[in-house]
Amino acid sequence: MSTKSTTAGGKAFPKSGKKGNRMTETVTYVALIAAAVFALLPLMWGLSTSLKPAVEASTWPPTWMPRHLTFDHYATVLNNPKYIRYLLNTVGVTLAVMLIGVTLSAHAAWAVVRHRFIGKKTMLFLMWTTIMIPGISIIVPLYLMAVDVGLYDTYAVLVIVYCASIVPTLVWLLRGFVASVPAELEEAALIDGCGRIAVFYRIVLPLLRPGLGAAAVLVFVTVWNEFLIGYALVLGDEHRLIQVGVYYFVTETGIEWGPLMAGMFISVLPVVVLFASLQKFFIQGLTGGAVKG
Amino acid sequence: MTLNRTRRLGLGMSLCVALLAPNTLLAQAQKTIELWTFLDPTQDNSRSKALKHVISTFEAANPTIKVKASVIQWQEISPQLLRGARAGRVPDVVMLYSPNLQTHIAAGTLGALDDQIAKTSPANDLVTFPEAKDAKGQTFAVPWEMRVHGVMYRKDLLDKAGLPLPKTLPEMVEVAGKLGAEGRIGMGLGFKSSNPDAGMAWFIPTAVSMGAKIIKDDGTPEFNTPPMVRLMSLIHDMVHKQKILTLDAALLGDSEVQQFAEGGRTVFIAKATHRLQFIREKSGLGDNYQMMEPVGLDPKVKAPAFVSGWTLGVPKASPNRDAALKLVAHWTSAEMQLFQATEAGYLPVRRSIATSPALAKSPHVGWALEYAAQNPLKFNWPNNPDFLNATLARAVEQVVSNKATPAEALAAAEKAYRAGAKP
Repeated sequence: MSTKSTTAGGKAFPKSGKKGNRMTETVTYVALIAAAVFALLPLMWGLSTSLKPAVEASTWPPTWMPRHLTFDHYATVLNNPKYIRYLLNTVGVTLAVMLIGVTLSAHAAWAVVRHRFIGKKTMLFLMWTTIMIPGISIIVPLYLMAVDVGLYDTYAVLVIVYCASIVPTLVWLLRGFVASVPAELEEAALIDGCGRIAVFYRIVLPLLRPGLGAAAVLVFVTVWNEFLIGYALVLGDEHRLIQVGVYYFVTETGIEWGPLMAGMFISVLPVVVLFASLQKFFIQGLTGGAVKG
Repeated sequence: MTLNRTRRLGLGMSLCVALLAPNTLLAQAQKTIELWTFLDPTQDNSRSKALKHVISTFEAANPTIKVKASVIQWQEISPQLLRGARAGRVPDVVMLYSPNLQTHIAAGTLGALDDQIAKTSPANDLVTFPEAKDAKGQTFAVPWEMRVHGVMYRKDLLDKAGLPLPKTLPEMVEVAGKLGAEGRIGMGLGFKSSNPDAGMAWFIPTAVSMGAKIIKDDGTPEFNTPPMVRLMSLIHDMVHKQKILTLDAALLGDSEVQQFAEGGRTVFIAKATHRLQFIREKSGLGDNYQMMEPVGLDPKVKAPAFVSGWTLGVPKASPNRDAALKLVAHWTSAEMQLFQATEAGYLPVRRSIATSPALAKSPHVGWALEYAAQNPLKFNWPNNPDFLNATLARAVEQVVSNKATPAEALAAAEKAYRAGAKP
């Protein structure tokens, strides 16, 4: 007897016998468990370190489970007003980039899908190439430009640079979503007397909601976890972001492992929560436009 | 008497001016100077509290000057200043680690402080680092603390085994071999070429004590010499013959090697005095960790002490130079130095303070300062010490991982240094 599994499109994959199926399943699970352990082990070790007293954190042989459970490192981090400031800075910058980046990208994606203009392909190609440029290679010119225009060590420079770096990715991401909106809907609206811009806001934008959600999640995860730009373009405490702030537990006399790990866990918590709750959007974003419906 | 409306208005305005004028003048005279520091004065530890005290007492003594402390990660201050000088964004006072000073002197980021030093009373009381001087003898930074690089050891292990403190490097290797069991590392040294400072802070003085010059008076390298080959062979043998240093540890950087000490796993580890308290606390071993002077090959020849420290510099483009110099003077004053030494365990940079009875409680202050004064490291520091350290550390990496013999690795390092060193 053969079993069948179904694809997303409803077509069935022919499968080999029950024995072979079980074998495949076992191998798949073993591989997935191994991958999960590989990914989670360092995090678990970090969590364990964040819950140990400083002495136990560097003891030999190491202990997986804290012998003396303590939340002191979390208290140290959360009682530090600067750390709270870094968190709020990151929330503010992330939301600003999300708003500006997604707005710009949605308009741009609609323009490149639905409109013809000179240099469209070249522009898209150039945008694509900017995604390939490693951040480290442009950090010095960015720094000099920021100083020249008086934006160094401001929130504005972070928002501008993050937007500039993420908008090309978002445009490419949203292109697929815009393309999946039937052009006939827009044509019908135009025939009914709707203006071109109104078509975008009234017809296209509401249908782009899943794509906009995916783009927002992508922006959040990218900006929240970013280190290099936040490190190079901000000098003082006032505008510092959380990922850079956590690095300050690497001190001149040694590494403060407990607070460093506690700070790291506090900083990743919003990303984990957001990702877990909006996972659907993110997956859609990854596959959006891959299959023409 | 009644006043007409115009007169009443005029009187009112005059009154306002009279009331506001002093505040306005004060506001005009008020200056804020920016300090780039790796220590955060708002934190609750002894070093941060000491900095807070320095700033608050300075502001109390100079009511028209406020100090804005911009906290920058300690490894980032030097490159940040280089970038900032290029972009016209510099602070008024900057903390710089002494091995980085030659880079800044060569780049012209700092202003000379000789006039300031000349005003110090009593004369010659303030320690100055050779790395803070240019070829003409001008001084560009003054230390606000210093540390002597020596060896940290586990006193309890030596006492339990009834072993005396080693006087030479071979003796140290022997003791480390006897005590380096049970997962312990006999000799904690790391030569990771991307993080070589601590390893080189041991390597260079040891090589000099063995007769190596490393950098000649004309600034050219002299690596492939018998003393250097011998030292390289000693390090190789520590890893492969005596096995008192594991290969993975030898290829690690400073903070990673320190983890072994924090876990109580090192018998000896090359460290500077400022780390002693941190390691004592993190390891939970307290006074069982002690510091000893560096050792060389010959018991009659003392290994020179590598002294380094965080200094204060005033960038050339500082917008408030006079106020900045006042802060430097305050920080290096006898009163502040004594406070820092007693409250935060810093080695003072005032000779008159070093002998203060108030410091008798600090066990390593006495010997460290005395040893450093008697055995200074005479070394031709290049203006690119980071490159020198990285080049030599790369040679050690090659030797300990058996990719090259000491002579081959040193010859290659010398060639690389000649090619890459900026004049």
